[in-house]
Amino acid sequence: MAGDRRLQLIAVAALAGLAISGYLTLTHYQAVPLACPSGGVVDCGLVTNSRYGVIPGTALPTSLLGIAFFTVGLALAALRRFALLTAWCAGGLLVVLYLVYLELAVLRHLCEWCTAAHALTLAMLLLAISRLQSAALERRRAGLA
Amino acid sequence: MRRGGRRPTGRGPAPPTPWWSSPVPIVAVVAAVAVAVTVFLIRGYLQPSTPPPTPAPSAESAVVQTITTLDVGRTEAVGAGGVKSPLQKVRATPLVGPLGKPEVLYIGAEYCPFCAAQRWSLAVALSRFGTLSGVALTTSSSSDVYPDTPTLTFAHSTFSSDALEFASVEETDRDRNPLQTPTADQERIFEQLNSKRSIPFIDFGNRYVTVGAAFQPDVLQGMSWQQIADQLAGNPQGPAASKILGVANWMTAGICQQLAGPPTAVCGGPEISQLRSQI
Repeated sequence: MAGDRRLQLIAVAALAGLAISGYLTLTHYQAVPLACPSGGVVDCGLVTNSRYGVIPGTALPTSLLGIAFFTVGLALAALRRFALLTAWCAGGLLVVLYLVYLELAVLRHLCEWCTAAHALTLAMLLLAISRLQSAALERRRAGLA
Repeated sequence: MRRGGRRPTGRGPAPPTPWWSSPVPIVAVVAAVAVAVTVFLIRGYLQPSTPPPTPAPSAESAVVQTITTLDVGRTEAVGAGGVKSPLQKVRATPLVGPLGKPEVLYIGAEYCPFCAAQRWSLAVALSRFGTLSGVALTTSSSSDVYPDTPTLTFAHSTFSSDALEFASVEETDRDRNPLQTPTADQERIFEQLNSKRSIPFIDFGNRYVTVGAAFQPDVLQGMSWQQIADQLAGNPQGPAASKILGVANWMTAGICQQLAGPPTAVCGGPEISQLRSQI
């Protein structure tokens, strides 16, 4: 069914986002090298090692927020809580917009791994809205029948 | 019996599709993101870079004069300053400079906040063995961790000494624009002794190296260059000074070990001797 298909896509996006956030977390602790160009506009090292690469007031990498976001998103999708999932993804997108603002307007450099995670957040929101719409329409039709 | 036609269902016309089930919400989200990104791009393009704080020339020379003429006995008494030895022993062909003397090689960058911390110590240590000139004041990057850490830059420094040579490379300025390039030999040493290419990197004659900062730059946050210099001269046990001098003393111990005839006035003191025995 198309609805299940969208849930599957949300799950795939969440898993991909989890993988990226996990990778960035590992690079923060230098467990693995950061595979990213440097020296140009795209410079992951500059972005992730900036003061915005850690959660304010802590030494924890911002990527941990990504791990939390994608984990909760995956759980809400599995539980078929469409309204909560949509709200969660909307909140995530607001955080993403702030991070994109920091990249473009403050740091003036981009992190390609971060951008991929941001795109997955947007994709999850769009799919969640679509799935919520379908679920609401189904309930409406069931109520009218 | 009715022929043809459809059996009436008894139901009214289908209700209109509600707006919230149309593509409108999705299009609205996409449009909002596109507008936001465009605004951010324009803002980033139009906004000028934050200019670095610049010291007055007289203030600059006063600071440099202070830190390069610190009393050895008083500053040596700090000992390790509560800092663990940053020196890593290496085995390689002794590093000598163009004049045939043992060389200290520094590779860093002006944007780097950890280099910002380490340079204070290196300047103090080198000044015990010769005359360090051409040092200027700057701050680390405004957009990195520990932003705008007050520091020195070795970009145009010179060093004269009977016992030692000093080579420095500041690879970028504080805005990450290319500044200086290591020579082929310096690059080879950098690769061999520092596979992660971390900065700051300091090589003491290929006998010891330090990689990274020996203390966190946060102790320098909120201080001016003059305040740091004043603390080094007047309160060596102060929070910033003890760290800077502790690392400088470790570096001094490393330099002493690299010299065939280390000067007694610098290398023979009780604290430096103690540190030398530990590395």
